[in-house]
Amino acid sequence: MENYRVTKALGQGTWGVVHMAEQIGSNRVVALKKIKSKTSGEGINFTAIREIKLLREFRHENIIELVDVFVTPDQAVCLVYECAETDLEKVLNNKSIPMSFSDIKQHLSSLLRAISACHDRWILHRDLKPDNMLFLKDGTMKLADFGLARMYGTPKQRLSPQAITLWYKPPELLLGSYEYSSAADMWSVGCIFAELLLRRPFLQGKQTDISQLDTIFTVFGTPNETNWPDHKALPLCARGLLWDDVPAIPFDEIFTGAPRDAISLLRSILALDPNMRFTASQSLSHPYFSNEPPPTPKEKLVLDTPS
Amino acid sequence: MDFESSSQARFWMLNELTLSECRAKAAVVQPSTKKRARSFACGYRDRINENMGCSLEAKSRRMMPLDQETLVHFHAHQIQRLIGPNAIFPELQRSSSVLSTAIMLFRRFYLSNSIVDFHPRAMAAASALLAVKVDCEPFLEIDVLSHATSVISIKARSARVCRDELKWVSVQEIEHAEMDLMKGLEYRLRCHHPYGAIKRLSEEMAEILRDTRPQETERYGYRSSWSNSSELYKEELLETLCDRAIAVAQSALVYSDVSFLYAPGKIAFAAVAIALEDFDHYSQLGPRMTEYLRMRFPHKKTTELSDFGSEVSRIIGAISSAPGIDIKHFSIRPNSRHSMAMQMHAMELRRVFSLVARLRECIKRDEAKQKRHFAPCTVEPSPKRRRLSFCVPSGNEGKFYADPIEPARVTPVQTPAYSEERMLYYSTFV
Repeated sequence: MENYRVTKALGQGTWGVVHMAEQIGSNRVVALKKIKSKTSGEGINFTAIREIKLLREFRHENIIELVDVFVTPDQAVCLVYECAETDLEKVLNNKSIPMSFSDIKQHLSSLLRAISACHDRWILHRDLKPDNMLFLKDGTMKLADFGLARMYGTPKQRLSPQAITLWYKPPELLLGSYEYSSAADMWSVGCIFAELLLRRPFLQGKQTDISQLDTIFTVFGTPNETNWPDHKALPLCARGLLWDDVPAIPFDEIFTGAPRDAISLLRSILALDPNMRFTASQSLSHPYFSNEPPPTPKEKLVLDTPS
Repeated sequence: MDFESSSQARFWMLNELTLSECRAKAAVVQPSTKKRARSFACGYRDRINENMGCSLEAKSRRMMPLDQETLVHFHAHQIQRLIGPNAIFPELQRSSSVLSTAIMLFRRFYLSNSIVDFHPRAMAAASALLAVKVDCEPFLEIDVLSHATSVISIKARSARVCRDELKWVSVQEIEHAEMDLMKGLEYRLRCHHPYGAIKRLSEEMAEILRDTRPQETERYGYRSSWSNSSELYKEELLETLCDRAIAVAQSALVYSDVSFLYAPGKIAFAAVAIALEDFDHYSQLGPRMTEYLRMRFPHKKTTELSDFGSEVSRIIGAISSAPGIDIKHFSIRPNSRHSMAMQMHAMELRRVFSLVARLRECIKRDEAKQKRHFAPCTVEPSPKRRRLSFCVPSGNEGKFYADPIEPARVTPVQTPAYSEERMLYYSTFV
């Protein structure tokens, strides 16, 4: 703590307060997240440990850098990150910021590069949403908030289906799956891509998992033997949850005006069956990224209201 | 995952030279007024010339690095009672990979810190606690852990030599130790273990053994009636091979330095070779493993393969020469429970126990007197103390780490020769 001078509060996160601070000596501006254990008898908070453990593995352009960690005498852990200017949520909500197809391409490719780095290390992010995509001053996108992230790939390890924010939650988690993998993250990526194209959240369910499933199935059609062969094995389906058959709405009708290659990529990422979904590296080699227009260079992205 | 880019490869891999340098510095006791967890071992290889915040002055009080290591081995070995498949309470019984993570965190910590500054029992409990969180296992309450240490300390009460070491640790102590542990590890917590590779490798070896040399499997003590089903044959073979290799890797993690020197994949290879007893007196790889290498990697050059082979044989050499490991123990037919090597190790431990007890006593006295200067204190084992026959409480007597749990009980160990010493039982935990 003695190495930092707190300048102002940035906001309240799930696990604690985030402050902006200055590193004494180097004058580097950083974000300071203090995580204190809520329940006694567990020692240092386990989400903090999870986040520290995973972020220490990375040195990636598009993943937030953990500058420093320290513990305070009252058993709280302080995580020191590089300080971001804004996040994608704010950018999307600010309607005075224009967003071209080139900008979208740049955002998506940054996100995919970050995700593919995670999946290469067998790490699932499990909370992908625009709030967690931060932007530095120079326009670099940084994926943040690894508090829910998990290692995966060990056989028989059960993962909780209670992860990922509702609107970005894939159908297999909503149906109660315990064994999911990188495809779950990819669904969230697809939702973010759709949100970039539409400029509003794509699948807005109303607070409950069932309502979110309804929303998904009205767009994608109900799962059947062709679009998702083994959905019947999932816990909720096995218990006999049924839907009225609805046909899928073609993507061209939803994303009017979006380029064809974008819709083709989106369709590959947002597949109901997790086994059919594109992986991050497959998506990166999709022609969408090599076709015209080229992605906007990160320095030229407009991230704030032009003053 | 690419091991080369992991934090373990970047920060926790050392070589023999830097490892011994680290240990020499770690053994230095800090003045009691400014005691802080040091973490210079993390990334030591790449920043040798930096100031590590500790000096090797002649006057500073220290233990011999080797003695410290002996004690660290003892405590690392004892962690298995606190966490993992052999833990004493059902809440603490977790997978063996959690146990390995705990052991590795513990050993990393004492690469930069002295056992006199931080009591190893508290650090062991904290390692267990932290390992559970690092491996994303279900929540573990500190109370349970603290209670486990107290139960073990009661059991160890009859064991004069090591009862100070296996002391009870309170909840507050564990909480503080956890913070020190995190600091001492420079917050680099991810641990890689060779078990995944061992499983895969022993599967392939079992298949090869079944297919190519059916007579070889006779050596592993299979009843001939099983030979009708080659699948069953393979399954059984795989199970013993895998268990044995995992036991080798666990012991190597506790007693040898290989996990700081070599990548987990290579350690896995060496462990399987030891489990197969496929190496010679000079710890060179035997014919089966070399043949496997050639078969599995036909496109690699011969020089590459022989480099790999010689590295693996260095690992085998390191494991078999480590104190506290008797390579015969992993043999297909274990012949001796307490072999010569084990007894030597036990004697060594005894000496170190009394040493560290004296050193702790000295420091306590100093602190009481509030002396400013630190006179070097000569530490010798007391000549008056009667020699007890002592063997290491080896947790699960003669069995492998992966074996199922039996209820904890205290068994007296028979002391061999002297009749008067036979009265002095020493308790071991089974």
